[in-house]
Amino acid sequence: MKNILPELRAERGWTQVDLAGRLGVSRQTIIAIETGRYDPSLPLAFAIGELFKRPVESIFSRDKNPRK
Amino acid sequence: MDAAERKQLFFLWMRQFGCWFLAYLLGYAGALWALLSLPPGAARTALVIAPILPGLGLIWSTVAAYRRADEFVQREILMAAAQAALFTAVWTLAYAFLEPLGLPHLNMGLVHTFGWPVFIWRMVQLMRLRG
Repeated sequence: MKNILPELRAERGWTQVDLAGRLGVSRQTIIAIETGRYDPSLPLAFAIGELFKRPVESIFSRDKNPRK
Repeated sequence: MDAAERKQLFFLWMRQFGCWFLAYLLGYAGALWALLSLPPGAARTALVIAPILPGLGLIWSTVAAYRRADEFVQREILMAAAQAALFTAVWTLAYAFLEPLGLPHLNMGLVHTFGWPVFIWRMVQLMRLRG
């Protein structure tokens, strides 16, 4: 999955640690999602959507060349 | 739980894990010494079975950390445990065939020290993850 988390985070001036704190996850989890190493669970994806006040599908999209 | 608390808990686990691992290695050295040097008796038996406690401590601290972790860290802990188990399985399988060919007989307790370094290496990688 591709995502625009770094852009959304940058718009708000949040660091990865800030975002992790707001979502109640570790910094490693944010790094792994942003780099496409990990696709979040549905509850976490919806929590991200709610935090940025955007539909989940506007944040995450299918990656046609996924990381192996 | 915020990120700072999670980081604190992660380092707490690493400290706990490190202490249990050190205790296990010391216990193992003590057990080997007792086995080779002491006459049969209560003291020898106590020293030989002593590494069981820190061995259980290693498992307990890892299970506790798993329960506290978030979904990605839980996945990484499971993958690290699977890799450690696979490494141990391959190593022990190979050694089972090498031993009859003349390699020295090893104590089964030593198996415990094969997998943990793999696990620790994966956890250090996780801790150093940068994006």
